Amino acid sequence: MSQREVRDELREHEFDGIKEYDNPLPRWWVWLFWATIIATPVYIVYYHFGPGKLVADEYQEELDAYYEQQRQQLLALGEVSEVVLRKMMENPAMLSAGEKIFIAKCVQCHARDGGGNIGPNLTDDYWLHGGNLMDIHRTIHDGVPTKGMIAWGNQLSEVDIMAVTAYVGSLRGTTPANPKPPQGELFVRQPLPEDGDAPGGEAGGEAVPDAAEARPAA
Amino acid sequence: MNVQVERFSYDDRIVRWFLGATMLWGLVGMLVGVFVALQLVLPELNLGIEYFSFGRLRPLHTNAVIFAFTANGIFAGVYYSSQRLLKTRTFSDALSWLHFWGWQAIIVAAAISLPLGLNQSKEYAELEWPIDIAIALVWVVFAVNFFGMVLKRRERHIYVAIWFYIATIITIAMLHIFNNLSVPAGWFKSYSIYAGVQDAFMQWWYGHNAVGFLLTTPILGLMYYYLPKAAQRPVYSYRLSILHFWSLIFIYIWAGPHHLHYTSLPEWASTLGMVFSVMLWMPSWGGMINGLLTLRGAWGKVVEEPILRFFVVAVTFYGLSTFEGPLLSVKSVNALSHYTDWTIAHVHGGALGWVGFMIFGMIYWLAPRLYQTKEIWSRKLVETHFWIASIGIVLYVAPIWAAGITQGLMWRAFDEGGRLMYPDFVETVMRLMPMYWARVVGGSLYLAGAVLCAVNVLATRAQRPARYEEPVYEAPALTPAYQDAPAVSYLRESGAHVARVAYLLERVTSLQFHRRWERLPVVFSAWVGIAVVSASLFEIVPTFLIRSNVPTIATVTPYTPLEVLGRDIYIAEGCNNCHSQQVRPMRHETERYGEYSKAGESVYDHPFLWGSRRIGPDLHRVGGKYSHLWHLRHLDDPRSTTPQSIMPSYAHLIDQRLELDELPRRLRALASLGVPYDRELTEGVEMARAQAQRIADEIVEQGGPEGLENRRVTALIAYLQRLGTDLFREPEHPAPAELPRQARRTDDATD
Repeated sequence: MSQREVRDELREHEFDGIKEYDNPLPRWWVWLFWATIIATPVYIVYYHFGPGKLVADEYQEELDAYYEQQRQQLLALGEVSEVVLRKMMENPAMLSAGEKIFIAKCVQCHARDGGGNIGPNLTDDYWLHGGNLMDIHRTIHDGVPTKGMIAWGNQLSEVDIMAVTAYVGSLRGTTPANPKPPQGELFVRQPLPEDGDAPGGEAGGEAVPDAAEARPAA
Repeated sequence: MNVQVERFSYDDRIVRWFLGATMLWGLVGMLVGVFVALQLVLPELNLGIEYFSFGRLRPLHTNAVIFAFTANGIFAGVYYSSQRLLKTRTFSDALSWLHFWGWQAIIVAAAISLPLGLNQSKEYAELEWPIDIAIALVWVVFAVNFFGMVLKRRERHIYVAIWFYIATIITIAMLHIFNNLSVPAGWFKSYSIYAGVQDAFMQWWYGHNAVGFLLTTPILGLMYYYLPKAAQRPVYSYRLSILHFWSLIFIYIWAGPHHLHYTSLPEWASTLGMVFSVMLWMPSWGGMINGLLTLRGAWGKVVEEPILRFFVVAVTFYGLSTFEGPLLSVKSVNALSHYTDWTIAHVHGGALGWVGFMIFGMIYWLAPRLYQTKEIWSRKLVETHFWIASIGIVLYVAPIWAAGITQGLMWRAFDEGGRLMYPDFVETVMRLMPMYWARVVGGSLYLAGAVLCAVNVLATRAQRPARYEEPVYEAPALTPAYQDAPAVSYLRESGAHVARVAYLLERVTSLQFHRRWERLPVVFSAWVGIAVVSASLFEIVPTFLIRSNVPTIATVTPYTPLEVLGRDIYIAEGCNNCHSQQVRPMRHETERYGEYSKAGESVYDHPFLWGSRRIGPDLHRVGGKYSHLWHLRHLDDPRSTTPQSIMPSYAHLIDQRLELDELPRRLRALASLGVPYDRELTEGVEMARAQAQRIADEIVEQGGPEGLENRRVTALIAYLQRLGTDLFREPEHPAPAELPRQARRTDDATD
């Protein structure tokens, strides 16, 4: 490439009247082409043989950070019990978290306002599998496979199940647009004793959960 | 020396017919495009007819604009220009007509079979195996006709446009054959010989290079003929032609895996796809530079001449798309863009801008010449077409870019508590509706422009003479005796003392060897073949041979007979056009859909169904997520479970009887591909019946209707409930269907 200037020298031949110049390659084009070629081995060595993080590593880091966050939340809440769940029902941040999970996982069968569709109405006083918050927690966690209710313990973390339980508890007494007729037995919610000795579970939170418990159950 | 002068004429009749086919199918393909775009905002527009649903018509749209509009345009442009560039009539008139009618028959077969739900599911390779064989045969007819011309040419050297045509013909044949290898199970059904990761790899090797060698190289060939002809300006740089041609065809082949970033494709392949895509940037821009700089000094003409303006916009969009392509193939950008409309915007920039405007410009340049009128019927109409189509492209591409980025950002958004900000998928779809409406307007404008073009061409044709003139040309035949021009060596001339290697280096970099190749088209074609085959093998061989690419998962077992039928329904309905089956390893995806997809999970997926766009949510982990009854209600009327859903109803699956006659043949075909079926081969029908009965009973138990054990919907539900569940099964129990779907430990599921 001895010539560097655009001289517009015509080549000797033409094809069906089309002529060609033999102008040099634009410099910036050549340099950018070389840059992309040189970047290739650099990228490969850095990411596949050097300190660069591959997709799986990045995901693991993202996951670890989240589990740590969940563990902290679980520590703050204490082990699941009627009392703990009842307290969560009074915590707007927890209810809003529960609502997000409810939208993601539950509305397909129970409707956005909990009025029921394929699944039962969650706003009335009648419950198929027990109306204590601990009963609801168990129903969500273990599912009712014969009726099509999924065992969410396999997919959701403990904190998420607690949050969505609290949210479902808070739906009671609301008025949905198209309520499904009541199913199951009438359930009257007991007032919570002061010392926390509620039916279906113990109050308090002495147990210290470890990180494994924060993950979806094995 | 006695040089024999030969007389010959050109066959423009075949060009006229291909041009007419281009116009006709262009209108059809774009009309179907507008129709499916409308269905995304008005889902009831499928009129409740199964043949008109999005999943079946979207492949019709893509196939029509690629293989009917673009390919016919290419054939017209190639036949017109090659005859003149090679100074010879087409090799055989009979082959030309066989090519024409064969190709149109293929298009008609596609237009019938795709709405009927006969498809292989692989994108842009949907057509079933008998049509695939026809495509291969007609392509060979085209190749013989073309290379016949090249061999009996009267022009010593082959021009750069011919190089690009050669690369197109060779590479498309290779891609088409190797991606479509399948085992038939009846006339209208086949299973890809590849499965899972390997099938995905082959498909996107094909898919990406179909863009490269059907929507890029032949169009560049057309550009190198029609742009300098229309501008009457010399091509800017011969040496740039050489460099960008060879680098383009060699590098293009490697880039396919960028369609599979963050999937269970091994990461080395993903990385190669990315870095080669980035290296492809400058080779692509070489074509843009040569196109635009050819117009230096002719900008006055561009202002006056609408044809040149079509070409300028086309080349500009080529530059834009070939910058955007490498950008989207960078992994971290792709993490945002993949599965969103950004990809759709990208291909439409290329298709409407680059391919469409090159072909329309070419049509306007050809029409008066082919119909032997002085001028196009109405220049004003050409102007109008140019403006409304240009506005149409902007109105299409800009909102769809915005849609892609919007939805990508919504999918990945977390709140402070680390939970999805938009957990409801349909909320992210609703946000796109205004942009989808804008797209309908943009696409309609583009279609309106094409209508104007058709009117203009027909009106020009109406002014044709009673009899076309067929001018006779004269040129000397090529003689075998030919001396290449002596090599020029600046080093030798300068008399400097340098090592021998410097002379060698000079010979290579001065590109003088290439001039010799240009008069030896067989050698030239062989080098093209070597370039594209070797580049392919570098990735294909390790993908198929290295076992660690696909770690085995003990609990993954083949689909049951009923699930096979359900999967076939999923393919026939084109569910994969809107639903992916590939959860990426990102927390916002695993949070939304479940554990990310592993390579070992799709080893029995003939073909793979990972998808490329999420108009609806991913389905890989849908198994066990909802009750059978939910699926039944949702397929019957999607808006009964998700009020804002834009999914069409699949009520016909509830009405249609489940036919089991085909099942044994299908199971045998799959077994011949290595799927370990045993009892299924003898008792498949009974097994399917038993599983269908079980599901039907469960539906009743859940409060649903009775009598679904012999309905097609039950097979589809069986398949959906199986999806993505094997990973979590306990390894000890072999029987797949009976097990409760539980135990979700994922850490130790892969080897």
